[in-house]
Amino acid sequence: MIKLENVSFRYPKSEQKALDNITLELEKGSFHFLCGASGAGKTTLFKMLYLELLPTTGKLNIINNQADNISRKQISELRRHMGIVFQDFRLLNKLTVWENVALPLSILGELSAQQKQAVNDILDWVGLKHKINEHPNKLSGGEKQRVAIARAVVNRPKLLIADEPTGNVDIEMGKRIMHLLCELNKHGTTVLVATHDQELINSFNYPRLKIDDGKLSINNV
Amino acid sequence: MSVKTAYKALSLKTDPIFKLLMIMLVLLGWLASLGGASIIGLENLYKEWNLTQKSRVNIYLLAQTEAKSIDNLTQTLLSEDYITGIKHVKDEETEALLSQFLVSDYKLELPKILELQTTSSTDFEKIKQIVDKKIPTAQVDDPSKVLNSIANGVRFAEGIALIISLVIVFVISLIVSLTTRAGLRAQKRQIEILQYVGASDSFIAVLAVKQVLYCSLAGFVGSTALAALSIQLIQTQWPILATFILANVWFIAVCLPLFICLVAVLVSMFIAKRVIRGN
Repeated sequence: MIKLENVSFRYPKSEQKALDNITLELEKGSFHFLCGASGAGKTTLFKMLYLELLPTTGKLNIINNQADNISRKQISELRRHMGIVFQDFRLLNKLTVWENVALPLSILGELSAQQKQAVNDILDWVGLKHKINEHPNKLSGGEKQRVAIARAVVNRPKLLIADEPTGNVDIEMGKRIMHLLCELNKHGTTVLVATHDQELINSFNYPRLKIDDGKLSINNV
Repeated sequence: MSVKTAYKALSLKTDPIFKLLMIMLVLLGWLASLGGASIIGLENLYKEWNLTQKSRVNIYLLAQTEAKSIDNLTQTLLSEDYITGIKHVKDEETEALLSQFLVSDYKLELPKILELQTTSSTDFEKIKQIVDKKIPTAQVDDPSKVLNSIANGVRFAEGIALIISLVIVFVISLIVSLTTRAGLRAQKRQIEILQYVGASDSFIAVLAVKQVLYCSLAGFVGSTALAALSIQLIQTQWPILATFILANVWFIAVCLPLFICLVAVLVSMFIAKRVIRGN
């Protein structure tokens, strides 16, 4: 599903490598936590996984697509099989909650009754069915987080990348979100979750990837 | 719910700069439409005038010219194929023509005027030769110099109008390009989100271009309506000009704003792709 071979990345005008010789392989259907301090390279690695950044050196393969010569069209097609949860949510305030969640489906054309039902179901699951007509700027941080998660999983992605998905929600909602991610994982979605929450990491028996100064270490449980 | 959601996500129309684009499209479209219609109207007027001038040649004879000589000249001229008829202008008409140049109580022997009706293949030189031979004191009114200078004037006006049209097209292209660029840059975040959920560059470009299309179509409707009203007003105020407002004038009045609409869409397509790629 994800394969990095000796991947390094250096931002322009920076002398230090943001990612340093990373080799990693995540199997299809796996679940991993990614932890590391701020500035350790988590965001850079995430950006590389959704192909916003491409490696300076090394080989990157995402969902059977080699990143070396990938076109912009291929990147957009690839992202349709990915769910991305950002720490800052990245919701569109012009759209309602329902429309934000339906966005990944709506770019593919007219929504079928089944897809509309899927949007309703996922919103029901994250506990926001009563807020479908609200706009994100009227929601709390936790609610926005849930909308962002609902949007990321609505199209049943092959790969889910979540940056602090439980960072803005209470413990109870955090558990529900994690269970949702586990449920998706059971259905075959490869999940990678970045989090600082050690308690959360400890409550699940999933392998942990630790990134420190751009270097990655794997800690299998 | 469909692509409409994505369309709503990248709504440029709420941007004030897009409202400015619409106003500019209406005004420039109107200007181009009226300019184009005026030029075609002028061309119609010129053609009509040119036809009249080319089909009429006047010969001025001294008052004392003998009637026999005049009849002889008339017969000779009528044998030419391109002369379809000769009218002997009545003294009253001649007097009326000259009255503005004469003092009221001054009595002058009026010259005789022959008005030749000719076809488009008129040979002025041949007419002059015949007249010189038959009545050397007669003067042939040769309008070719006037026709040429008027034709040059009309072509010059048309050339100026063409340059103005090109400037308008350039200004429109510039406005659309700047507006689309500014509109899309202001929506950088929205574009990023659309890209994260899998929207391709062309999908996003189409969303932007569609909005420019609707905006320019509204501009087209507005400018065409304004141009139609203006032409109607001209017809009402100056009925004499109505003769020259033919179908071709209306055609140009509609086509030019439509062309501007097309230019706007093409420019926005080009700019949108560039901006999105650079995002």
